[in-house]
Amino acid sequence: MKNSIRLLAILLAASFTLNFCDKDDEATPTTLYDRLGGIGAISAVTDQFLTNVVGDNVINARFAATVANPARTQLLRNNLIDQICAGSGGPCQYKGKTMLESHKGMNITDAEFNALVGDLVAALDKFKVPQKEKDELLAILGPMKSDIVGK
Amino acid sequence: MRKIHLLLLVLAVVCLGTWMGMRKPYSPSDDLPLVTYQAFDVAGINDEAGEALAQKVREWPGITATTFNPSSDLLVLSYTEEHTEAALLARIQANTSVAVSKKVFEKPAGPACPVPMSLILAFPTYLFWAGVFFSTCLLFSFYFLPFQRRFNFD
Repeated sequence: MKNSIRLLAILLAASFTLNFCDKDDEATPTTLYDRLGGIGAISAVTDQFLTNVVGDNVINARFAATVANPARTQLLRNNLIDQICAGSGGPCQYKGKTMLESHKGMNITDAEFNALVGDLVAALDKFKVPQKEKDELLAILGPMKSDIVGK
Repeated sequence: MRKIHLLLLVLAVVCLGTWMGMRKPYSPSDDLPLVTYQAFDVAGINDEAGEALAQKVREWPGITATTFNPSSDLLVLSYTEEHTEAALLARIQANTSVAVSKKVFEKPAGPACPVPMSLILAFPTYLFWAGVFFSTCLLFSFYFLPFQRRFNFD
């Protein structure tokens, strides 16, 4: 009995330790993710995008509670990075709610959605992202509009 | 003693099992440094000076992005943990002639979760360390106590 409990405890410890080793750093060189510049570039564009949003009077009230709370801000930032990274073929996994779930009951208007897209385009322009990559990225994010506006 | 072993085992399995269930898959964004976003009101600054100020602030180490929006008169920064809001406010003020103040957004109406978001996000980590603690106690009770009895420490 004692030996079996010991063995169980050792196996448990080993399995939990091995779970830390599941990082996947593989990437293929032709993806949009690579052409955008990888996680560092996506993170820089996301920071620029979010500062644009916070400065934008049309939509910044929507983000007031998030910006006031560092943990929520960090969650939003990481979710955005993961969404762009995963959508562009990178090694990230989006861990947030679906667009429909997260925008339900918010009654977001077309004008607000367009303002957000404008802030994203401004961030991409600031980093001189080529038109081809910009169009590809917007084509990935664009179809989400139906899950965001008017919900 | 057997009851204590069983209790420790159950606690360790429950904590680590729940942690495994709640654990999010790894993503490279998990390794990025934490940043904070802060808006500063720079009302009265002209467009060129505002852009120049944003550009200057962007060059400071630890600033990851800046935006000056002339229609809202806001200078928004994202910065890493090496900066504090008060120090940044003072440093920005030293670089412009207009009054700079922290922008306080109106609190949104409606219900808010009473549990702090930081606690919710950290909960899986607490579970993991609780599981490690109970597992360690279990192993310790197997190996240390017989050793203690052998040498009559108690």
